[in-house]
Amino acid sequence: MHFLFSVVFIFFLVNFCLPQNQVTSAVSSLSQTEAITAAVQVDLNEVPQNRTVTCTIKVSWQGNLSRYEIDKVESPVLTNLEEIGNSSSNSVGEVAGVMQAVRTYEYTLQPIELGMAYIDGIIIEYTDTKYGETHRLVTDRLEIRVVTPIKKRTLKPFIFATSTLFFLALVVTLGFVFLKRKKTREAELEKHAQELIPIEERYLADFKEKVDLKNQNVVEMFSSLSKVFRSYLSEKYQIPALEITTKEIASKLIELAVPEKIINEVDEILNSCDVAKFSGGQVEKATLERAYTLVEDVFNKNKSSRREERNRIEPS
Amino acid sequence: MAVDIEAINKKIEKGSEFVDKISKEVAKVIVGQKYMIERLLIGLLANGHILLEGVPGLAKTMAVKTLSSTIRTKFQRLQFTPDLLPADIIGTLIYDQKNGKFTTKKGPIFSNLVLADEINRAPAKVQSALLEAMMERQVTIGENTFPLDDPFLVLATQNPIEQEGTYPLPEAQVDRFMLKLSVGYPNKEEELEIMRRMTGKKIPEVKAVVGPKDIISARNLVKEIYIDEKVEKYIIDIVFATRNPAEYGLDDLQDLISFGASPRASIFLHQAAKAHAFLRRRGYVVPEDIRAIGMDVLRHRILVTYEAEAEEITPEDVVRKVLNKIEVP
Repeated sequence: MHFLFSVVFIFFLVNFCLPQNQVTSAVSSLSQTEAITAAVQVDLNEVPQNRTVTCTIKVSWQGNLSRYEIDKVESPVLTNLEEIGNSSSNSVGEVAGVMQAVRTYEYTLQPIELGMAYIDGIIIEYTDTKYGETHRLVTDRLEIRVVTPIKKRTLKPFIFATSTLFFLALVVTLGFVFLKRKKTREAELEKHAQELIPIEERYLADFKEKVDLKNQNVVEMFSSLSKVFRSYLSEKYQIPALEITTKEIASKLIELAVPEKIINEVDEILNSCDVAKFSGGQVEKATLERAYTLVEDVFNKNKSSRREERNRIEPS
Repeated sequence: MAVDIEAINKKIEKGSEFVDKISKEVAKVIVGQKYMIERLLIGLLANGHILLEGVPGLAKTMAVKTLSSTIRTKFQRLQFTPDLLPADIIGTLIYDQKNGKFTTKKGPIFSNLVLADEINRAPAKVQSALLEAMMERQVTIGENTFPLDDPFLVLATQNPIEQEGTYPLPEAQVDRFMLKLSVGYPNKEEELEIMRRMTGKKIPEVKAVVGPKDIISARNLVKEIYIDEKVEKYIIDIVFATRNPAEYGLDDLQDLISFGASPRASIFLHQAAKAHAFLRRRGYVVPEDIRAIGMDVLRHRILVTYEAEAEEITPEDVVRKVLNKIEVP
C-alpha cells in the first residue's frame, strides 16, 4: 500500500488569538504540496442555550485539482447538540501561484440543555484518482459550553415607547391647537366687544381714572392728560401722536380733514400741556380744569359724530 | 422752585428783536432758504460752528456773506485750495530787519465771522489748524497765544459732488461743527424770484443792523432759557438710541450703525434747542425744538456700516427713524 493511512491531527487552540472559536485539522501524509487537509471549527466556544453554533469543515488540497474526489462527509456525531441545518460549497483559487481547491461544509447546531456539548471527529472519505484508492480523514473532537439562555430581544418595549411618545405628542399638539383656537376666539370676541364700545368711551374712562382734578401735582396731571389724549389721537386718527410734536399733530389732522373746531381744541389742549410740562413755571389749577373740559368736549363731539355717521350708514 | 417764565419770556421778546431785523435784511438778497438762514442764526446764538453742504449755486456763500453784512463785525472769507498753508489762516512771525525782531502777523482767522469756503479742498494740516482754533478759540503763533475775537463763528461750506482732488474732513473734525446743514434747491416760485432779482438793474444792498454786543447779550439770554428735565431725558434717549438702537425697539438699525452720536451731540442738541426756542420767542424748550434741529445736529455724528451703505441707507435715514420712534415726553 502506497498510501498512508495515518491521520495527523494538528490541534491549535485558536482561543489564544480568536477566543470565540476553535479549529482542528486533519492532514494526509502526502508531501505538503499535494496533501489533502481537513479543518473543522466552531464559531463559539460558549453558546447560550437559545442560540445556535456553526460548525464549519474545510477540506482543501493544492496542485492537481482533479486528483481528489470527496466521496462522503459523514454527519457529525453530536452530544447535547441538535443539527438544525447544513450547507456545502466549493471554491477554486490560486495561492502563491499554485492552484487550490476548497470544499466547505457547514452545520448549524442548536444546544439542547445547559452543560458541555461535543462534536465527535467527523469522517471524510475521499478517492485519490492518481492511484484509484479510497482514504479517510478524521477531524478532532470539539467541545462547546452551553450557558444560560439570553433574553430574547423583542420589539415590544420599543413599540410601546414609540406609541407612548406619539400619543403624548398628539395630545400636546391637539391641546396646543385647542388653546390657540380658544385664544383667537376670545381675542375676536374681545375685539368685537371693543368695537361695540366707542373708542371715546374707553378713553374717557381711562382719562377719568388717570387725571384727578383734586390732585395737587398739577404738572403730573398734565402729563397724564397729555399721554391719554395723545394715545387717543393715535388710535382715533392712526397717527404717531406719541412720537411727534403738538405742531406736527395739528398738521396731520389738517391733512386728514378733521373739522377745524376739533383741531383748534386739540391744539389748545396739547399746547397747555406743553406749557405745563416744560415751562417749569407755576401752573394754575384752572388751566388744568380748562384742558380737562376741552378733552371731554373733544371726546363727546367725536362720539356723537361717530353715532351720526353710523346712523347714516345703517338707517334701520 | 418754579421758574419765572413770564420774566424770561419778556426778556426774550425784547432781546430777540434783532432777529427780525437780520431776517429782513437777509431776505433782501436771499430768496427762500429760510431753513438755512434760521440755522445760521442758531449757530450764531448757540456759539456753534456750522458746516453747509450743498451743490454749487445754492447761495451758501452768499447767505453767509449777507448774514455777516447785517452784523457790524469783522468778516473774512477764506477760499480753501490745495496749496493753502496753516500760516495763511492763523498767521505767522515775520522778521523785522529794522529792529531785528520777529513781529506777529495775525491771519484772517482773527475775525468774528469766518467763511471757510470749500473746506474740503485744503489739505489735512490746514483743516486741522482751523478746526483746532474752532475748538480752543485761541491760536498760538510762535511762543505767544492769542485769544480769538468774541463772537467767533466759523461757517464752512463743502460740495458733496466732485470728490476728486478733495480732502474729506475726518469724522473727528466734522464732529466739532454744531450743525451740518444740507442745503437744497429752491422751489419754482423762489427760483423765479432769484432769477428776476439777480438779473435786475441793481443788486439790493444790505445794512448792518446789529453789533457784536447784541449777539453776546442774546447768547446770554439763550443760556437763561429753561429746559426741563423731561426734555433733557428726551435728548439723552435720542442720542442713546443712535448707540444702542435695539434697546429702543429699533432692532432693524442695530446692524446699520457702526458708531452712534458722541456726548458732544447731547451738548449741542441742548444748546441748539435753546437757540431754536429763542428764535420762537419762547422762554423754555419743548420737544418740538429738539425734533426741529435734531437732524442737523446728528446727521454728521452717525457712522453707518457697510451693510447700510450697500442698502443705500444714509445717516439721515437713521436719524429720521430714531426721531420718529422715541416717544416725546
